[in-house]
Amino acid sequence: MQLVHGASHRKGVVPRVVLGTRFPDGFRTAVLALALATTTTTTACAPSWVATAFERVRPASRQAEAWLLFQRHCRSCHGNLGAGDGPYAATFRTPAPDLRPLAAAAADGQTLVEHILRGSPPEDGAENAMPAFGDVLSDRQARAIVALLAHLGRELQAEDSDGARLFRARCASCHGPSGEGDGPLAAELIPRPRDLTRSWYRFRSSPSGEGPHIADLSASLERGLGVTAMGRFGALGHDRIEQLAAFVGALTTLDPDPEQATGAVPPAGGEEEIARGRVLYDEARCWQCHGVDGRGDGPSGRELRDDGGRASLPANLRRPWRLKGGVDVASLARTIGNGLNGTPMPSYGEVLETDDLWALAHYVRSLGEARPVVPIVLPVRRSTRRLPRDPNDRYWTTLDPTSIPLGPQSFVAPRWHRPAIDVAEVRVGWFADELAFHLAWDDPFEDRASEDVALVAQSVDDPRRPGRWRLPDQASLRLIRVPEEGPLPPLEGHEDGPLQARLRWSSEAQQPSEVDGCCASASFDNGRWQLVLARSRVAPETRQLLRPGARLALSLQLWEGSQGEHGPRHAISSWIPFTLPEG
Amino acid sequence: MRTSTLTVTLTALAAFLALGTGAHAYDGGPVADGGTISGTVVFDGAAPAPEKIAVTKDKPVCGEEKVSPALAVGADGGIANVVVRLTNISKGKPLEVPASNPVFDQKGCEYTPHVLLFPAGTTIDILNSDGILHNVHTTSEANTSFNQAQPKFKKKLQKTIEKPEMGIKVVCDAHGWMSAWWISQDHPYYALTDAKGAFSMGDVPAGDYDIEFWHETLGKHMDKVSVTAGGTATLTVKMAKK
Repeated sequence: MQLVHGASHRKGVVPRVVLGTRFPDGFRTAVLALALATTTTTTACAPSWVATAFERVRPASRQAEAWLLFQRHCRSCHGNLGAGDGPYAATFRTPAPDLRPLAAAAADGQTLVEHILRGSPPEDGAENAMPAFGDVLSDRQARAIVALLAHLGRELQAEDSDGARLFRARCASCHGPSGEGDGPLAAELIPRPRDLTRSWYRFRSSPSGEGPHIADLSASLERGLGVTAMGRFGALGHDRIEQLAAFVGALTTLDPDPEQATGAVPPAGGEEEIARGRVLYDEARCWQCHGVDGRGDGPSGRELRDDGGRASLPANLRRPWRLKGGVDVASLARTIGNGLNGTPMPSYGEVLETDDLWALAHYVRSLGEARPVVPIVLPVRRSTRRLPRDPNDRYWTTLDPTSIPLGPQSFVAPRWHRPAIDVAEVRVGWFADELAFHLAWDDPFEDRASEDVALVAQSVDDPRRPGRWRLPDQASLRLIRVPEEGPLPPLEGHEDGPLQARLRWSSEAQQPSEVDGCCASASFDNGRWQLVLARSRVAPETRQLLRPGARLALSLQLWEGSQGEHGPRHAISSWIPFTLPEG
Repeated sequence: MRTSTLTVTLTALAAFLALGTGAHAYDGGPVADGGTISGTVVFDGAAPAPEKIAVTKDKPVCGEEKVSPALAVGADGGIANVVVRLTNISKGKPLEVPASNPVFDQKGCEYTPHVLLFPAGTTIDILNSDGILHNVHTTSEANTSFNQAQPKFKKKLQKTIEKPEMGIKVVCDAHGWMSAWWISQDHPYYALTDAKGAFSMGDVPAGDYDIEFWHETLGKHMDKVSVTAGGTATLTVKMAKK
C-alpha cells in the first residue's frame, strides 16, 4: 500500500525523455543542444536562457565568492542564508544571530568585519562563541561576506523570484550549475550534494523509485535536511521556495508530479500503539541497521553504501533533529513506507499494513529525544559512599542526568563543521576529596585499539589516505575555576593554563587508564558509550582542596573515530558551570 | 550565425531522437524451418580459484563463508552465467511472457538464480526462504529502481519489469555479499550458459547474425554467426579477464 499518493493522474514516463516540452524554460533542450552541438563555438545568438542555465559560478564575481566562503565557514551555525538558523545555531551559550539585519544596518560593516577576522568579544559569563577566521579569510573576503549578508537582508524585498536565477545564486555552489551535484563545494561535503538530475530523490511522498512531488521539494527546502549542508531555505520566502522547487523538479529525469500529495492523517498514538510498534520494530528487523535501541548501531551499519558507493549510515532514531525526511508521525510513516531512494533504506509499503506502518512510526517517534539547550548550571550530588568506577553501577542512575549540546569545533584550524556526536549526558558526583563525572553519548561504532577499521566518512581535507585506520573514540573533559567576573576562557587554546585541568580518555586504552592522578573506566553497549572520569578535588591552580561553594565549569569534547574524527576534528560543548554544594 | 546554431541544434535533436527510439521494433510470428545456435563459452587461461567471502552476520542462516557467484568456471573451463543474445534480429518467433512467473529466491543468504533472464513485461516472484530480513535493491536505468524490504513474514513479493534492460543489478544491503543480475529482453533469442558453459537457442530464422556474449566480470564479446534452415551453428567462444 501507499500511505499517500498523487492526487492527480500521473503522466506517462516515456514521451518526456528528450522533447523538452515538459520544461517551459527549455532547460533540458538546452542541455541537449549544448551537449551535442560540438561545432557551435558561441552561444551568443542562442536564447538568453541558454546562457542563464549554463553560466558557471565565477569566483571573479565577488558576491559568488563570498557566498562560497560563507557556506564553507559560517553555514553550520548561521545557516545557509545567514538567518541564524544553522543546525548548530543554539549549541553554544551565545546563539548565532540572524546576521542579515546586522549587516544591512551597519554603516560600513567594519565591526562585523572585525568580528569575522578576530572573533567577537565574549560577554561576561560566556565564552568566545564566534571564532576568529582571520587565518582563512582576508580582509577583502570578510568585507565581501558582510556585503553579501547585507544583500541577503535586502533581497527578500527586492530580488525577483525566477527559479533559474535563484538556483544559480543559492544552489549551484553545492549542486553545480546544471544540478548534477558537482558544485565547487561538493567535494568537501559529507554527505555529498545530490545529483538533482538523477532519480534518487529520497524525501518524497511518491512510491519507491518514482519522482518526487513538487511539494516534497518545497518541503525539503523549507525544512532543511537534518544537520547536513542542505539547511533551511525558508528565509527565502514562500514564493521563492515554490519557484525554486518547480525549477529543481524540471531537472530530474523522473516525472515530478506538480500536484500536492494527499497526505493521510495519522491516527492518535497511545501506549498500546507504541507497544505494537516496538514489536514490529523487532519483527521487521529494523534493528539490523538502526540498532536495538534505535541508535543507528545495527550490525549492518558499517558496510551500508548509497547508490553512489559512499558510506550511508543508518539514522540514529533518538536524534530526530538529524533525521532528514521529517520527524512527525506522517513523515516517518512515509519514509518507512516508501523507503529512501538511492540509499539502503528499503520500502516497507508492500510488506506492512497501513495500521502497522502507523504503529511503527509512532514507536520511532517515541524514541526521539528533545534536543538539549545549554544548561545554566549542572547539579552536583554529594555522595555518602565512595563513587563507583563502573559506569554501569546502579549508583549512577540515582543521579539526575543533564543533557548538554555539542557543536562543531570551529575555533582552531582545521575546523570541523560536521561533528558526529552532538549531545552527551553528564552526571557529577562528589565524595570526600574526589570529583567524578559520569558521561554517556551515542556512537554507532565501538572503535577499539585491536582493530583497524575502514573509515565510514573521510573528508577530502584529511591528509590520511583512504583505507583502514586506527582512530580511537575519545573524550576529553576540561575543568576551570569560573572567574569572579569577566568572560570565560576561550573554548580552544590556552590548554593546561593555570586555571585549567584536563581529563582524557581514549578507547585505545584497553585497561582503565590513569588520568590526572585518577581514573577512567568505560563501557560500550547498543551504540552508547558510558564513561566515568574522576579526579581529586584539588584546585587545578593551587593544588589546594576545593571548598564547598567553589564555582567550576566543564567543557566536553568528543571524537568518533570511525567517522574520521581526530585532533581538532571533534565536537565541543560550551563551558557548563557547576558549584560544589555547601554542607 | 543564428541559422547555423539552429541547424546544429536541430540536427543534434534529431540525432538524439533517433537514438532515443533506438530499440528497434521486434516482429514476432511463426518460424518455419529455423536453425539452432549452440556452443560453449570457455575461460581463456587458468581458471581462477573461486573467491571466498567471510560471512559477518546472521551466521545461523547464512553460514560461515560464501563463494562469490560472480565468476564460476567449471572443471572443463566452461563459464557459467554468460548471457548470450542476438543483437540484430528483428523478426522471428514471438516473445512471450512465461505462463508461470520465474522465481527469484533468497535462500541461505544467496540469490537463486544468480542471473535471471526473462522477456520484458514479466512478473517475478521474489521469495524469502530465509527467516530473516532481506532487502531487494535494484539499480536500473530503463526501469524503475526499487528497494523493497522483505522481512521474514513476507514470503513472496512480486515485481514486474516493464522495459527491456541489460543488466539490472540486484543487491541486499543487509548482506553485502548478495548480488544478482536481472536481464530483461526485447526479443526471444537469448540464452544463459549452464555450469559447463554450454548454451543453445532454437527456432532461429536462417540468416547472418551478430551475437553478443556478456559476463558481469569478463565484459562483452561480439561474434558473428550464420544460421541455415534446419541446421545447427556451433560456436566456441573464449573469454578472458580484462
